[in-house]
Amino acid sequence: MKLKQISIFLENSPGRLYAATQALGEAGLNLRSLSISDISGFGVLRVLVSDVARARQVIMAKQLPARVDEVVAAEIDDTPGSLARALKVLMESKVNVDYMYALAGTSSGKAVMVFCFSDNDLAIKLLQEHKIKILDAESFGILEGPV
Amino acid sequence: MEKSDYRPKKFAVIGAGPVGGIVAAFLSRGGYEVTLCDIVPALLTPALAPGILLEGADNFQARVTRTTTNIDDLINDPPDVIFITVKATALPLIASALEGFVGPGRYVISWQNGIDTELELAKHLGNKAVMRGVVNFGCVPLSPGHIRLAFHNRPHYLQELDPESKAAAEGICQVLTECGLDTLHTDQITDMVWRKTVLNACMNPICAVAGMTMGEIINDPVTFNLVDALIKEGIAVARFNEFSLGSNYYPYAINYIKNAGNHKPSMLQDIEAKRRTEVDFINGKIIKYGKQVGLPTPYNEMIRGLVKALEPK
Repeated sequence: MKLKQISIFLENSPGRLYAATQALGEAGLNLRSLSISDISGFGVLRVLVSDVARARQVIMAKQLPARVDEVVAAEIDDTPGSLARALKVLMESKVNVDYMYALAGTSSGKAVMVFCFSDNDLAIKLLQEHKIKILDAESFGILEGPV
Repeated sequence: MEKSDYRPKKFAVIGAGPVGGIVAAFLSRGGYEVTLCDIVPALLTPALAPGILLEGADNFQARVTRTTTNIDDLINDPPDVIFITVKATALPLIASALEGFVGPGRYVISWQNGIDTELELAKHLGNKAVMRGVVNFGCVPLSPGHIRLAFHNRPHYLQELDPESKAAAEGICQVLTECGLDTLHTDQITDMVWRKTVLNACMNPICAVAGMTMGEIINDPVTFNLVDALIKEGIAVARFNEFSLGSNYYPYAINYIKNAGNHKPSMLQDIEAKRRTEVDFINGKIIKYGKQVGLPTPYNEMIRGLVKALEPK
């Protein structure tokens, strides 16, 4: 149920963001989601890609500092207060959100949020108990292992 | 050491640079099946024919069994033991790629410089599958598949992360020793890592920034003072974090570096080759552990920053 997200450390190097996205694009990899954040003064590019193993190879070849983290994608109603209600469930069980970002472009009255929790497994259990749909790799058309 | 029943037959080495080349050559010479893996095809071609050529402290040539540019091939045809010899900076991605490798009787060894490399592996693979080695040889790549061993101070050391894997670690030590890469099992690997890392942290980045060999750094009173300051800072951080360096570590360190010879450390080689270095796992970790105990590390902060400034963007 957890997704493999690639985090690329930009280190505030000029052109790093372009180099990373260009390399992935040239390899024919789609970015299913993308987020850029600032940690301690250094940018981090977080992406869900269509083929994790292939993306790893590309990033290794470019010698970009990166890692693979596990995240959870949850589908919630695209209505005011839905996100807060989901977070309340987690808060009551002392599951913290390390970071999250929205997946743009969804439709049908649903929004998809990508989360990294302090305890991903417990978060999945709690969300499912409250009828919140967890999206797997297949839902995104993501290959997570080597072909 | 009591003889272990664990006898691995198939090995893989990730990283076809000088360190990986040395491990692959010794294992191949010992008659074991060895797969050499690197993203750079040019580094792999000579390892098959005519073979990896070592000269200097050790002199022989040995051919590996097969090569691959794709780590995923190791999942499809798994060896018993994988040695990771690449720069520590690549470790998170490699660890992720190896998640499918883990199984009974299979082990991954961090055979690298730097602090906590084994912990990075264990995040993805679990403690039971991971081991950590500490090696002591200096090597220079003369050309792909041709490596000069400036020095080779045996023995090397190996320890499992999970006590359940102790017998396997001992078995791997036996194999390495039989191949000529004398390795002993230990239960003090973390202290050994810190002993080595303080030495690496005081010399390697200074060489990288100054473009000087170890001998040149030592013979220059200005740069030697910087080395001395880095040694003392590293010792303080280690001791504040309760890592044991031994009561005589400072004179040992001074004596060691004074006898290091006119050698280019790997960090200088990386800068010259326009490669990313592993400064974050060496000086960067000393900085991190210093912060954990409230100990400022200005020399390490400075030298890390200067090395990062020289790294390719």
